[in-house]
Amino acid sequence: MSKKHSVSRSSLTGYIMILPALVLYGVFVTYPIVQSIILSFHRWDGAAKVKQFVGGANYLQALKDPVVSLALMNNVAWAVGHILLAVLPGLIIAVVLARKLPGRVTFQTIFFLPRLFPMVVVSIVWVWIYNPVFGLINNTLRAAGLGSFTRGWLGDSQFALWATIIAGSWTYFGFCMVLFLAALQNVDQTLYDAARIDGANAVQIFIHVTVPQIRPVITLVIAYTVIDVFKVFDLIYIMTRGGPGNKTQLLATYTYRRAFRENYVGYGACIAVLLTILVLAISVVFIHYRERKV
Amino acid sequence: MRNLFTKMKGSGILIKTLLYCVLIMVAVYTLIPLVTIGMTAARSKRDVFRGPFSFPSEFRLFQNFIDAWTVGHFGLYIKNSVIITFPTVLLVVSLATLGGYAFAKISFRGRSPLFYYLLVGMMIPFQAVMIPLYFQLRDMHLLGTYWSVILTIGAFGLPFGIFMMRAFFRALPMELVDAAKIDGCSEIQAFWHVMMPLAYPAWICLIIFQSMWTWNNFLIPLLYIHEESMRPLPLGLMFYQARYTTNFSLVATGNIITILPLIILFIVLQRHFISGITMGALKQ
Repeated sequence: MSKKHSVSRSSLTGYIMILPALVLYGVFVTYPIVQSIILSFHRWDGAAKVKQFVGGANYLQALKDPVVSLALMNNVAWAVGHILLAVLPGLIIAVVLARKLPGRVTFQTIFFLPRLFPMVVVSIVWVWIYNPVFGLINNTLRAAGLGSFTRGWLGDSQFALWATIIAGSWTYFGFCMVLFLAALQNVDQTLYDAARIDGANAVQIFIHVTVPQIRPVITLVIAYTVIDVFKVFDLIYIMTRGGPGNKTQLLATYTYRRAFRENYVGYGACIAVLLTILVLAISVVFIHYRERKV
Repeated sequence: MRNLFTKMKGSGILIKTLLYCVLIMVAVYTLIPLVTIGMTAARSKRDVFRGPFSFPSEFRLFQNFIDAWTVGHFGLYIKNSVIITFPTVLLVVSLATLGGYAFAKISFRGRSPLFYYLLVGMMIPFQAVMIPLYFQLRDMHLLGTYWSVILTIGAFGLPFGIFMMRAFFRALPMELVDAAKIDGCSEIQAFWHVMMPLAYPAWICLIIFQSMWTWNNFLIPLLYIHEESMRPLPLGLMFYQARYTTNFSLVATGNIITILPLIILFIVLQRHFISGITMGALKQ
């Protein structure tokens, strides 16, 4: 009797302790998500008294909207670009630094540094680097006698997207490196010794020992990268506003433009819901994949 | 045999040199944008157009710093960032500690469904709520206040905070709590007197992670704070560079004002920083 009493009292304490978190989360996360879904079935300019119910019309429109598919493709390019320009170099640098070379902490600090900065700073600097008149790239090209290759990189519809991807990956590869370094510390050193005795060279050791040993972390970093890339907003908003002609538009920036600049609130909510479904789907696939592995 | 040995040693040095060359090249690539800011901040408006690596006709770092500080209101932006960051971190750390402890050490009905319900929040992008939240904050009379940003960032920081604190408390032995209870402590007293003093390592990571995320957040204040005098640092810097768009040395100085405290903090607290930030990604 007394035991039962004490259990229910301690479970009451449990509820009281999680209540503040549940309230804050409910009011600022769960409730507005439900509102987003409801809003995505309406046409609304954000000011009118009445929201007009339109059923799935916004979703049909989004499927046919060329900017939505372009933004989606740009997001995919961002993901691929970040895997090639940040995850892969991050992995290679981590393997090199894991050899305990003198000066590794200094290199680690330098490579990680850009990750600390707000995206505003990153964007401003890279806009300068790409500047057609005095930017570092064009200046270098001119000095090297390659003046015919100079261009306004961010205004050029062929290069603008990759110019933003390079700026994004600049802040990201050091972060990947740190994640891989942490994983490499847990790899059994005797495996390397055994491979070396068997006569494996550095590349063979990398492919046959290092990569399989830290495969879960590699998958995790790739999944994290893909998800993170779908949330990118600041860098595009400041560097290009999605231009030239939506060539650098991403789903997140397009949602913002539709909802807050052009007042298609219902349509903006619809794209936001699609973006959320996409991110959740990627997460679920990843979790499923990982559970199966374990 | 001896011949082979020296050959191997020679190739080892060659490989090391090669690796260092690659590392130095990557370091230069990483640092060039930062050096560009520094070089631009140190010269006059006129010198900027000759490129950031040309020889400057005068050294103007301090004058530019004073100019940027006065015309750019950076003192104000820093104050606003502190006003937003401090309560947000306090909110997340306290609610996450309470919740994390309850989810780890107290059994109650619905514990794991409620935990997973909160955990899903780690996967939800802010865009999922950004539009209706604007109108919701307006109806709550919070739009345009610091609280709109504090509560929103706080709510989105909670899932990770609770996840982390729960993992931390779970790793502490249950015997500590049981012993305290045998000594006559209630659940709350056991939490307060026994578990809380042990929580510092987890707190440092959570504080660093949450502070960075709040300090650098751009989109949330962009949407919900409209008063110029209330803008936090990244937002202030964005509007500042849009206004002085041709005065590159002043914009560069603004950038330095923004990142210098981050660089210093990072170098001082590097170990904690890296574990705080990597945990945000690795433990998902």
